[in-house]
Amino acid sequence: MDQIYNGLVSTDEAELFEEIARKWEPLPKEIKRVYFRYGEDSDGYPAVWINLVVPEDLNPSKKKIDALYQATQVFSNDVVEADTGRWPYIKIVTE
Amino acid sequence: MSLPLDLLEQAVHLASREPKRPKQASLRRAVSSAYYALFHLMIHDAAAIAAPGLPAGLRALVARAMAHQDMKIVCRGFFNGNAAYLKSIAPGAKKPFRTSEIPPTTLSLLKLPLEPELVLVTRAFVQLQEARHDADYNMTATLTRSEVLFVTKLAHDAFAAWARTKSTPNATVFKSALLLQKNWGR
Repeated sequence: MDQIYNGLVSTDEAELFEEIARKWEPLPKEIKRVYFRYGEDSDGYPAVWINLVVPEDLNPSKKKIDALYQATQVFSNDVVEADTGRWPYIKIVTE
Repeated sequence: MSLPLDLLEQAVHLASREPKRPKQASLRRAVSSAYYALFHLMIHDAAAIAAPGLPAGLRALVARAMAHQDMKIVCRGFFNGNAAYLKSIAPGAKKPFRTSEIPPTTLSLLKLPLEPELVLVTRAFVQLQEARHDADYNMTATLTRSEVLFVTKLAHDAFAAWARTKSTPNATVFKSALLLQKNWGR
């Protein structure tokens, strides 16, 4: 799992997120990989962005969006249950 | 109450335009419309319990008094407070329930745990508001259609969940809190 450090996350915290993300493996086939970005959201609340890297698809099917949606619910819940103090935001990105 | 639904429909329309190469303008406006759809749904229903329909225009003025950031704080507080409660009653839980995310005055009116539908709405509101902020102001990011369709699905689900939960006592407290919570601690 890749992490983007920006000075706002401790090593312990990064390890906690690594541990959370290990539970997600193997990833659903719609997701190539996942990486985290840490920071504060637009009103200064501690946040983590769970970036889901997906293959470029100009016309994703409903089935694919539904599968991504289901995965994001699991990912968000795991971050909340781990009591990280960060709000989990989902980003869906391509490379 | 057609504005929220019209905005949601507009979001889906914009997200699906230009099938071969979506324009960033369309995708960004789709995200913005998805957020504003839920925002207007919330302020419509919150204003409806705070002000009568007559005289005409009063309810709209009440709705206008609602602020994005205050609403986000309420949503995040309800979500996090509920999560803390669920953790405190889980088998093997060692810590008693306490939360600083929901003010005591609001907490005294709620029956925890919150309905899952209300939890979904609060989470969607926070996620959508941040996505809207990013879509409108972060020009370094390139939006993908997948992400925008995900965002519109989130808004759709929040609408459906709200329809199922908006008449519950907890949702009534939530609607009042969206408008007034920041003043309840005075």
